[in-house]
Amino acid sequence: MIHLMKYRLLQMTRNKVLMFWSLVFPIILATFFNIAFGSVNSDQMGRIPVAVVEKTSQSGDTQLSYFTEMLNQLDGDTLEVNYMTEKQAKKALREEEVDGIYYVGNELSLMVAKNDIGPSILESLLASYEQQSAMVEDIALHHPEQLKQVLSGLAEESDTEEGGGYTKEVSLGATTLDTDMNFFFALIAMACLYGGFLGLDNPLTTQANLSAVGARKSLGAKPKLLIIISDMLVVEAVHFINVCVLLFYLHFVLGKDLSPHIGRVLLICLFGSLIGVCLGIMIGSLGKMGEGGKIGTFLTISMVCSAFAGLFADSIKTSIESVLPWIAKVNPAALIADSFYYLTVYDDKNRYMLNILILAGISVVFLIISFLSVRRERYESI
Amino acid sequence: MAIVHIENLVKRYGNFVALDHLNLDIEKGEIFGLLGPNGSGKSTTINCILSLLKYDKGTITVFGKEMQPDTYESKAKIGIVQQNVAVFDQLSVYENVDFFCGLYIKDKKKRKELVEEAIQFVGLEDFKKSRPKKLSGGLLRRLNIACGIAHKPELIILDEPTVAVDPQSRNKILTGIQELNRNGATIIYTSHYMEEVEQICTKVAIIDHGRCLAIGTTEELKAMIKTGDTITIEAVVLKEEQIEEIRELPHVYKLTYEEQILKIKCNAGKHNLARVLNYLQDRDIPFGRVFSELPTLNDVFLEITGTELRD
Repeated sequence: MIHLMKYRLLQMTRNKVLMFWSLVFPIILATFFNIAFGSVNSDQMGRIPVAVVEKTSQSGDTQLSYFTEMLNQLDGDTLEVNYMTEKQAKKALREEEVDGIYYVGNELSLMVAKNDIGPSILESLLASYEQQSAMVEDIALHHPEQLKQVLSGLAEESDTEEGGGYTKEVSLGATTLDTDMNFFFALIAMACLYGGFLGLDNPLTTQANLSAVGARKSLGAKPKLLIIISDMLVVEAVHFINVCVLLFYLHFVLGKDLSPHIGRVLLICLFGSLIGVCLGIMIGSLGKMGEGGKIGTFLTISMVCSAFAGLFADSIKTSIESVLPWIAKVNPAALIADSFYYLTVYDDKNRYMLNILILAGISVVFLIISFLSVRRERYESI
Repeated sequence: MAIVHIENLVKRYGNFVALDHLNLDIEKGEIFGLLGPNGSGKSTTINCILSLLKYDKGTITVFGKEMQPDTYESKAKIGIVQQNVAVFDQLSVYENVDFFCGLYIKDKKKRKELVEEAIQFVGLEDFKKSRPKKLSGGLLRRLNIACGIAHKPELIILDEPTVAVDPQSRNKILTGIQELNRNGATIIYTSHYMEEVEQICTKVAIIDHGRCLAIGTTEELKAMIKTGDTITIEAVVLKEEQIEEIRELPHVYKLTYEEQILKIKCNAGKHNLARVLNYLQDRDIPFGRVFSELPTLNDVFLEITGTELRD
């Protein structure tokens, strides 16, 4: 068995085409993702220029002071606050020097020129402030005894966020949520499935009806099952290492924050590579289609699965989950990406374990189908 | 007892009968040639012997045991050299031979000796570390042979091993096969090159449409047919009545005369050439070069099937 495994390992790792798709391509894609999302993020993270026009009135001092205090807290971090006259502000808005104008006086209002990320954030800020003001007024009116406690709570909330915002997305896991990570989770899922390229090669080099080397291997004095098992172990090991290399690259080179639970991350990668390899073995075992046809079939399936897992757009994943939930529950790529998500964001062991069990179950189904197909040792035609 | 015994073997592909009640016995020490045109059933016979193909009817025993996919004891004594080169592109010459030898031989030390021996046997010592893609067609075929014989099998099956091979490699392969046979291996050799079969096989079965039409040594096969020698005389000028007179000579059964070349096919018989030359000399008819060819397996095939083997 060691003899079989040794040569399968050499044969596999020296196959440049297979190693490109299963190892190099996901790394290249990760690099492109990082470049693309990096530029999007830098745009998003830039400070939003906003003009503030103070409209003083006899009774507006309180409103003015609370809101401008909040703006001052955000100045230099999320916002770039510019106090102007109305005329200057309108000119700046027209010339797109600012994303919006806050009118601060008796009433608060916002003027924006377009629908974009910046104006949306300005709208959210205003809405958030108005909501809190309404809440404070309501408490002062109906529960004045709790007003002090509420105000101190709001102040504490503001302090802890270091003026960074009035709402914050909180991760229950040990890692902070970065929405772009969903793409990288889908990418890891795709990389796992790409183990199918290696898996595909197994039946092609073992089945007498598919290749000359397959015929020669079948004629050896070794049981076919032994050859199949040793080949599969090697392929699974090689691809697991491939996925680990990708994780290493994501974490140490691209600086992506994966879950600190390294054991669980490796476990999901192990089962992820297993399902990819098994998918490849199954497609390779079925029918007498040529190598090109089988690779095409595998590529189509793996890309559709990856797309449904949110590789190209997170909205596709969300749509599939709402319209075709059963597909999302059995889509290997979605299960792998989901496991990473639940592990990183929610630290939800139950959901994580359920996904692993489903992955293992589907892998077994793929293997049974493959076995039923390759168990024949005599063929109708060669 | 025959090493390979095939009895009433029938194999159909749908409505097409590939093997039609084929019977063969291959004895120990023979170089047994399966001769037939493409599609005659040679490779199908081999694949049935090796238990790769299902067959509809009949019995096959190898080394006295019915051949099944899991008869590893028999499989260990068989070496196969397929029509298509069956090696891994990612492995070197040495690694390929070692891998396939390892399917039969567990002992590492013994295997190393066998692999070295096989590589030396096919003359690939200088290419041990080369990958198959760096080898020429002829060298690749030799590697294919080394992979099939490294474990020193008692029965070696070679399925058209010289297809698309240069003359130098072909000679090397053919002499190698004879050497393997001298060393004790029984050989089954399929080809549609009658010259090769005639050169190396000690026994030949002529197969067409899945049936064994004739079997025997090359001499026995040639003796089965009425065709004797073929006489060719160049630069001879003959009148119409002289041609007719030659046609009437004993044992002449076919005559052609074109562009001063006379070609006479004779039935098996003695002194055919002398009789024709005497006729020409008696009439002072000048002539150029004279050739006399003995019947070939192609003549045998032609007479048995009515078609040329190459058709």
